Amino acid sequence: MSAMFKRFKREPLLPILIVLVMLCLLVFIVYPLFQIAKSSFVGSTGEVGLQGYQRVLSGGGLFHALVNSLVLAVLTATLSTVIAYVFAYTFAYVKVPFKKLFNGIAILPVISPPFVIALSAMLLLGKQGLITKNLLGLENANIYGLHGLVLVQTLSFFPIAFLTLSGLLRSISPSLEEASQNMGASRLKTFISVTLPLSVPGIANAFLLVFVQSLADFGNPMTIGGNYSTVAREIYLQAVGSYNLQAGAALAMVLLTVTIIVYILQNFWVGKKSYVTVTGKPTGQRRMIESGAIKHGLFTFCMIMSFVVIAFYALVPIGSFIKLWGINNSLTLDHYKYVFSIGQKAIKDTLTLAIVATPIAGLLGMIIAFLIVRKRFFGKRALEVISMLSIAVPGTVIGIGYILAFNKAPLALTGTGIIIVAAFVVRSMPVGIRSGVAALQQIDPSIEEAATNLGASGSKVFTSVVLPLIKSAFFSGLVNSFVKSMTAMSAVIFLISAKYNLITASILAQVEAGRIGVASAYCTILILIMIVALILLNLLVRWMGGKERSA
Amino acid sequence: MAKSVTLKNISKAFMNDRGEKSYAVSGVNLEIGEGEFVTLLGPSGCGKTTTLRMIAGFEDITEGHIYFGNEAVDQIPPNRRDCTMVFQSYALFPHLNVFDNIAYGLKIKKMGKSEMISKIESVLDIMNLQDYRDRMPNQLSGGQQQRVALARALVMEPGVLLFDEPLSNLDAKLRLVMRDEIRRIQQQIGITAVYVTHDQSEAMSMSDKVIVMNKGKIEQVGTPMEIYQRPKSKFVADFIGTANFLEGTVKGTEDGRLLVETASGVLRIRRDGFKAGDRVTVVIRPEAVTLAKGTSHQGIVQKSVFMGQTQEYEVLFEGQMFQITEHNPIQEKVYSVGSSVSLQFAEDALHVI
Repeated sequence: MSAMFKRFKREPLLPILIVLVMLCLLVFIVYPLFQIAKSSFVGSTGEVGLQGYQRVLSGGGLFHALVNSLVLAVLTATLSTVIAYVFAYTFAYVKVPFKKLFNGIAILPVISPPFVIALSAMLLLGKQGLITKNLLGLENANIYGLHGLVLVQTLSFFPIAFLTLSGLLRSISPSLEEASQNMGASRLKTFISVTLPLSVPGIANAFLLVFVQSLADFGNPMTIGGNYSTVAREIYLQAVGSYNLQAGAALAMVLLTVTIIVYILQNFWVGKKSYVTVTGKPTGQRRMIESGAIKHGLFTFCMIMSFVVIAFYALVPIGSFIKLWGINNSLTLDHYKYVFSIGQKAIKDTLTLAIVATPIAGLLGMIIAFLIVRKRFFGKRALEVISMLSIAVPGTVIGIGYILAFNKAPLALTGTGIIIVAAFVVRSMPVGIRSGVAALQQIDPSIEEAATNLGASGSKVFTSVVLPLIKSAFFSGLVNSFVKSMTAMSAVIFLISAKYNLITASILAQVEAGRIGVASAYCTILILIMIVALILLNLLVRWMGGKERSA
Repeated sequence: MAKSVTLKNISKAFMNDRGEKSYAVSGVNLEIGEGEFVTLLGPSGCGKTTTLRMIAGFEDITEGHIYFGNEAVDQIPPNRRDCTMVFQSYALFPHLNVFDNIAYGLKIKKMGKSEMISKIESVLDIMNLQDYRDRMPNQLSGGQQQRVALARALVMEPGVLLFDEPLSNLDAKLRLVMRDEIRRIQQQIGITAVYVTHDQSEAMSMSDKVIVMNKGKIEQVGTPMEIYQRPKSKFVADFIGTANFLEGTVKGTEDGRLLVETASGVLRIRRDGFKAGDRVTVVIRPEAVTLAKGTSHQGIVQKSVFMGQTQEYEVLFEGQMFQITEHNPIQEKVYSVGSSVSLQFAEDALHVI
């Protein structure tokens, strides 16, 4: 008791901070999930039972949605992983021109709004599609359904797999492959017996990452799914459309279970199998493949993929100036006029809420990372588990959870801006925690001990030593939070109201109404806002960095 | 079958950041006999590792040719050259256990199962690895990993064995043990070995022949003793061991010895190839100087450190600092800082460049 008191006296802010952080996590992550679990067993008339789960698993529409989602996720994850592996291999092993360009293109979909690719797919391959109608002369092309979803999701999610795999391939020590060649193995044999086995954990990881993304995806199934219903979409329709909250909650529980299982697989099974760290010292540079059929083949592949991605992105801004795609191809500014009159509020609301949420998410992420890495306190394990859990929870699950949790007193937040900001923060914080933890683990604790030793208090150590050292992680966390918030949809679609509307929700409404031009105009504006914001944030970072150096 | 290795006028050029051509290795000529243990020694960036990697085939050769025996190998891809390498990082395949790591190359050779197993068994015996055959690389200590890496290279029975600073990741004591072990096994099998290191004591203790490299060129080739006692340049003299340099002028010869006039008087040195009037540098090893109570040649002791086997001095003499080592120091005969001493040079151990 006295020991605790002494610690409290030494760092009076720390316990308060811990309690506050824990409270936030409990209210905005644990409590909503608990409400979903509870609701999944409670019917509309208040009787307790398994009807919700029966509906999900009985082979009806909800069961079909579940099977559909799994099929879609397996197809998308497989295709994405293959494409990403080829891309990543080319980057790490082959001497090709335009690497920086390819890299930029490959990660473009990560920061773009969720609809861009789906919209382009309609413009390119839909009934009035540029390719389907004008090039191939097909009259009744149909992009809606499984094939469209696989196409759109693969283009959207392969960058995630690419980032994972390129990091992994780069970290394979070149001397391992040299050792193999040195003992007589050909390039192909070396690839099969060394490179490929060493990249298995990465491949598994990439596959699982995309699998979860596809499973949790909401925007694409809503726009281009057609009759192919998926879990995330059904949860929304059950919760908002038919008001069968029990079935929606049960379905959300099933989805949550699957994603948590995948998450555990990723972190405990794949993580254990990782070989990359065995050979500590990186030895020299990899000798690149400089010629031959392999190089030309891979280069061509990257060119084609990049061209496709660029084409998909270029089409949306173009489409936003076309009166009625495929039918009346004259240029017009009508869509923008519409957006700036009717949609002005959505733009303003989104920007305001995202700007409020960004620093909260960034700071909270860093504080949690700091607590996890550096401090020992009661409940630390719980804090770790909860903040990890939030990575695994799909947006739609958060959405339905918030509806269930914050509809009534004591926390009647539905319809307020707070609930949307909370959703933004919860959705974007995990990435910040991760990069914060990674940054902190690289800083020797003795640096902080030195500051304490020189008389700094706990909070002074954090602001004067820790924060400057993790600055870049902090700012990349801010950028990520802003991007995520601006483009968020799966969770917040449940939470919008007359008071607060969002750009993404407006886009969805326009797509559903068939006004592709207006949706494209919204998308274009959203992309522009994000580009401007990213430039501003970068300038801010550089300005702060410069000031630090001159001081 | 051990093979000789010949490098004929080997160069390696690359483009630097400003787009200029610069040479990592230039004009290297070298002959390594069958069964010889040869060390490439030099500071980092001297081109020794690049040279080794060109022999292995991991770096393209800009100019010149490499021969194993009489066969030119420079157009042969690395996987078909008759040499195996022990890597600095060991490069053990982390997804294969010790046995499979060692079997890797034999499987690629498509060796018969029984022959393969007997070869692996015998190399496991030689390397004392029988107890670890089923372990994964990350379950081994540094020294054990090192042994597996060597076993994996040895089992291939290559014409040439290559080592890329294989001991640099081990602690000092283990390094000494492995040094002897590598040398013993190399002599036992009689294989040709090319060994890269920046550690001069490693090079001296293991090699038949040491090749000192600097800035992409060979400075000197010789036995360890030649390299130490008869360095051809200031660089070699300074890089191998410690050396004091004394500038002087040749005055003439007498009884087959050069008379060299220096600031420390006239030294009589056994050496040919110089004529009267040549400006020369005398190389004086620290152990070639003995100290006596100060008389004629006055020096002042600036530093005096007891090292156990030796006493190390720094003496200021005629405006120049001398590093001096005396063996078997006895307390009564040790000079403390500030003492006046005279320097006596063991003229037979001096060298002129």
